[in-house]
Amino acid sequence: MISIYLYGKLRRYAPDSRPSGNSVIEVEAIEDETLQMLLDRVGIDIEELYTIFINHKLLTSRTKYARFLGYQQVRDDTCQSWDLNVVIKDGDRLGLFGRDMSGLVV
Amino acid sequence: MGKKILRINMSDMQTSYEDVPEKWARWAGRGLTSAITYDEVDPTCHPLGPNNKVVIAPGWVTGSPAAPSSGRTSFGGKSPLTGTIKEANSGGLSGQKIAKLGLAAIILEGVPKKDKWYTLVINKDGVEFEDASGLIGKGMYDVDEILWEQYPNEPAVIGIGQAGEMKLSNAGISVNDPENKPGRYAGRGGMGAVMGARGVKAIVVDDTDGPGVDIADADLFKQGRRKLTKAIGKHDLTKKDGGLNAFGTNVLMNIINEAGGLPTRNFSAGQFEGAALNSGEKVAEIVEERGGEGMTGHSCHPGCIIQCSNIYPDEDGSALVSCLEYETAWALGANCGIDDLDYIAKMTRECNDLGVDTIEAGNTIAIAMEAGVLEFGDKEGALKTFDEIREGTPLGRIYGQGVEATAKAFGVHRVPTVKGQSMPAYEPRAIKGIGVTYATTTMGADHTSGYTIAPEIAGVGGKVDPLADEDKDALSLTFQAATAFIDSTGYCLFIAFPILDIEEGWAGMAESVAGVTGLDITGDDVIEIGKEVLKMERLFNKAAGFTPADDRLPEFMRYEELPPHNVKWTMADEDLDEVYAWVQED
Repeated sequence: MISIYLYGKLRRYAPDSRPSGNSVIEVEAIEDETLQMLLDRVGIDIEELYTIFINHKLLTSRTKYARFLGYQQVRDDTCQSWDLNVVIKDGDRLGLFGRDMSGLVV
Repeated sequence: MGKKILRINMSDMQTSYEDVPEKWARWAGRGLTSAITYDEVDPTCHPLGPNNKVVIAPGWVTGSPAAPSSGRTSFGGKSPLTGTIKEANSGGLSGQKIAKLGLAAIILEGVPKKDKWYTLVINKDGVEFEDASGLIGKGMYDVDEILWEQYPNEPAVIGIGQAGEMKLSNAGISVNDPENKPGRYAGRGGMGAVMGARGVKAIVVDDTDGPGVDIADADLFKQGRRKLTKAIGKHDLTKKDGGLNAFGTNVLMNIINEAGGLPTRNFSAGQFEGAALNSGEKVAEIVEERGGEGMTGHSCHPGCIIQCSNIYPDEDGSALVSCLEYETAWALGANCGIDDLDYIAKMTRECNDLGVDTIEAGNTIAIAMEAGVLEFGDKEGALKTFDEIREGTPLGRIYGQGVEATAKAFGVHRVPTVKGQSMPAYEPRAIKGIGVTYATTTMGADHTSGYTIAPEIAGVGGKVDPLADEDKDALSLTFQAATAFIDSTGYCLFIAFPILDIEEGWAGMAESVAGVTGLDITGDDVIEIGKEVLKMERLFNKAAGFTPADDRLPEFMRYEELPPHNVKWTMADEDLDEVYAWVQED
């Protein structure tokens, strides 16, 4: 099973969309499925996304200063690439934040 | 008419309006408070003694017509919490009114001969020293209300609560917001105690018929303002209905928790199971449900176009407190194991009333919890700690001294401080770039000291690898220098996000400053000017006895692994020392 945690306006994609609840979509894993394919499968538009975490590590963010913060990252090279060809495996947790929840520091 | 410096000497009750000397003419905001402190305050003085000062300065563009989100006021001097130089800045009404009176700065110095308290009333005609005995023992909610009843024209009220009267090291300086509530604070570092030590309970500022702010080059100012306003209005975080406007700074609670960097239960974990209950999304939901006076998208000062503040409503819809910030909701929430926003709001109101910094207060309660004085999650017990401070009990006075004093009193060794000031809501083991700033900033652990700026935007050449420990020092210096510049402008630091992501905004900020001041400043000068501010601050600290050995994170972060990433702090001391290796005395 893969758990997709949704925040802000993205909560509308989940059965429980209350801010105080856990807005999670749970889907079965498919072998060799990439993040891009998974988001297509569950119907989440990439254009809506601002920041993506995989297992609490930063995969990518639209803000230019993301790579200078020193977050734990999925890939060492860059966290500003929107290359979503990362294979998502059974047991992985995704954290998705939309443009209404932009920013990684205030 | 050139700007003046208003000097108020509490020893002999004399005031003078001085021309701004050449050496300070190019500074405003933090740059000016640090320059004056550097030149006039003995770095070895006791912060509460007669030789320290409170320097109050609006930024370069504060008070100028329609400069967006530019109402900051800087408060500087030597900190009783850290022993370092300190600049804490605040929103609220004071900056624009001081600037419109034609003042570059107010210097508050000396100590009254008699044990007496004063309210200083500043308007276009000068300064009056009013007896403040009727305000003593009162919290800032009462003080603001009384002074608006007493004085016309809805003035700015700069004041201290009971914590400042007791000269506690965690006492902040309050500035009233547009609703005349004490929600805006120059909170960090205990500058409220320094003001209390001058015998000043409150400063009332009425700018009616003041000369206003001169604009040296109106066309350049308008051009810069237009670019900056456009960038703020375009960026996802700062635009209307963007992240800050919709959820406030607390937009970060779920993000930092997801990243595993939310300090929890006195920095023993990086995730809190109750984070969603304390989040900005939850605040927005409560505001909508309860209605009444509650609101998001609130302005902390006139002319703000970001409007990240909020008014948190009580169950009946009446205003309970403004503002519930990310740092506050974290310090009094996750860090104490508390997941109840109503209690967090009540504690925030106590902080605003007593006049203590919410970050240091929350960290202090977490220390008391770690010591077993309270249990983690004990919201009733946490709320009562503020009664102890208000009543000035021995325990309350320990809490009011902040984290390090409380940890010593109770024998706690997990003490999340740098240079005596406790850390804000980013775990440096999980978010290492911010850790470098915590360790090396001139202010003690402070997240606002080093905003993260892509070097290519900041005009700093060279290839840096943000993941390499040895490059983090260069990045942190760039960030700290740019922040020192923004803190001098009078703009809210949150303009950092649009100007960092949108290059035109960066240029617009510099052009608007050049337009108001007539100084020859472009976007390429920002880092060098910021470094000049940092140099003064660093040299002050050196003369006060600080060495590179003080630029370190606490020991426990080197040997305790932080879940969920199970990481320790690994940065080498020599790399941290590189951040300020360039600072030498002339």
